[in-house]
Amino acid sequence: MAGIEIDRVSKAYDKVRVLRDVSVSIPDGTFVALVGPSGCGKTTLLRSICGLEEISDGEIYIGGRQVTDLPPKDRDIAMVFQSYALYPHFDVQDNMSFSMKLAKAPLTAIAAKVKHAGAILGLLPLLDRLPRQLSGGQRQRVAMGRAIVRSPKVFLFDEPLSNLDAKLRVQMRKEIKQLHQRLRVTSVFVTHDQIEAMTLADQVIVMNAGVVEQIGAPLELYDRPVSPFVAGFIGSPAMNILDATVSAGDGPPQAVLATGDRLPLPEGIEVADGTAIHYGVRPEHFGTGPADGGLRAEVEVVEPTGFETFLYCAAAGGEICVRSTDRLAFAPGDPVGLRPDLAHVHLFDAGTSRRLN
Amino acid sequence: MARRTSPRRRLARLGAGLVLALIVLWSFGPILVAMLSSFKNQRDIFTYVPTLIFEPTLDNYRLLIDEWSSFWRSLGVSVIATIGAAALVVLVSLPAAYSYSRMARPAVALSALFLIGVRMFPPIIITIPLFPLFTGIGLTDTPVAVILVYAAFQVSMSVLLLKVFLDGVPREIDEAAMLDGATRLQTFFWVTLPQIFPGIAASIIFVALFAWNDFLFAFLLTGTNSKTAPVQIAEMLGAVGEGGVTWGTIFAASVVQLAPILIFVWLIQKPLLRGFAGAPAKG
Repeated sequence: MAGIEIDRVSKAYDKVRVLRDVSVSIPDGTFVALVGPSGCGKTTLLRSICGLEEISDGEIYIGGRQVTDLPPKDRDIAMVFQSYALYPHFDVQDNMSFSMKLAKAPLTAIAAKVKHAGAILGLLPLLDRLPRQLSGGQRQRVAMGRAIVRSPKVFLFDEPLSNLDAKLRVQMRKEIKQLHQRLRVTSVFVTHDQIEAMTLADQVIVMNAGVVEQIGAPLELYDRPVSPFVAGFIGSPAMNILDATVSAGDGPPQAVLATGDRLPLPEGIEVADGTAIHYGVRPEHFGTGPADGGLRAEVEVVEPTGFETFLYCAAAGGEICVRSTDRLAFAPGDPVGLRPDLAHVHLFDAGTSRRLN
Repeated sequence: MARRTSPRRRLARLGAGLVLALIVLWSFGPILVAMLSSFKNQRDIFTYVPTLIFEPTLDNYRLLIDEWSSFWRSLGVSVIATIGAAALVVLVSLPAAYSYSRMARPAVALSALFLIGVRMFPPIIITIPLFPLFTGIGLTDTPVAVILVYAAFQVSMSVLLLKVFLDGVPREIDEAAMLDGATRLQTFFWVTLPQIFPGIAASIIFVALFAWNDFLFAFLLTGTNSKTAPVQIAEMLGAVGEGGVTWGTIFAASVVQLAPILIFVWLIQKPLLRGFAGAPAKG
């Protein structure tokens, strides 16, 4: 087992820079999720860790050892691919034991390892099947079994659940988490699905356009996103982000929207008069009340889901989503006043995109 | 509900069947005549109303075995030339196709154009210059000469065909093998190669058909000692008028020449079609 150090890694294809000065430290035994929109460089970073991609600049260490220029086979890493990438002409057993056979391990050791991994993943009855005779979930397990058999220092997962149906995905997610709790091997999991990232990982790395936006525990990202990008990316439905300007006026400073609506700022915020800001409020942090208080809005759609009710309102020249566990009795067209919970307002500088509070 | 075919569809199917039957008759008819005639007596072969019911005889084959050792020798040369050409083509095409598929760079891709360009030359144009060339290095009248020429003509086709099959093998499978600890060469032989056996079989068929049936190159490059079967049969045809050979013997020789490739293609067609239809390997 080993931690991973990624030190100022850059990667460019011709003139396109897909990774820019990425530095990440992954402690031994943690489960880390790399998340971001497609094209943000998360898969490239993963492929750089395992050596399938050469990096243009920077250094990578696994377990304290410099691996930057080592070929994939010498990095002691196992990877689960999105397409599983099983060997079609090998049966399950041979798929799992290929790496050990290449390493010329004794046959008894191979058999023991395959049996061990097969037992963990419930693959023992399938050992003689070919990949094409397996279901998607079973193939997924074989791909994980192939990784486990090698007892690598690091597990890498490249969107391994995206080819499964919704139900199976939730189940496999749980199994991957259990597997990690059992084996405690450092794991890096690439996904574009923030729920997957939040539920699986100890630490989530949010990437955007080749740079790391924020690294933190799942709830830390949710509670204190450092930039409007992270704020909008983590959480579903997404955070409502309103463009505003700080105005001191006579009383306490307020955020003035383009429509002229005014929203209060949390106390203790020191922002210069006239600063352009993004004013972020999660759907569950809007209270609803009579139209004459708070942000004026008009209800457009009401979605009761049982436990919670979603309101989609037209306000401030856009749409605002409100989530409440109260059964809100609104009808489309009703006027409503939205009141942000000031303890949970996120303010970002529109110029630097950094968090202000 | 039982599925019923509309009369219109049935008519269309009948039409398609008729067309197919015509095509089969057109291409297989002459072969059938040759096959039947090889078992006929000399007098039955050229009756004006062809005799369909006749007493089969093996005389023609007996004659071929007893008096035409030169034919059997030429058949041996054909076998050597065909196997040699097929082996050489596969050996040369595989690394080329692998490079085109896995290491594509602009310059590499551009050279594929050259491969196609070579095929646009009428073969005869380069055959004549080849003659002094081969004579100079002492290759004329050896099977090596035709092996080289057959391979040179078929290698481009084979490279492009194998590239398509290699493209069908997901790169991720290569990468998985490399992460599993395989070198590039091990990955190729143990993981990639088994996925493209249908492609290799198809390549072999193309080369074998070409080499086995070729007349032109063999005629020009292998004069006396290493004639291939088609050249030999043509010579026998030339001798018919002089009474040295009977038509029956020639038909028997044609059937013997035809049989191996027919059997080979028939044996290999099923896995081949499966390979074409299923496309290689879905992980």
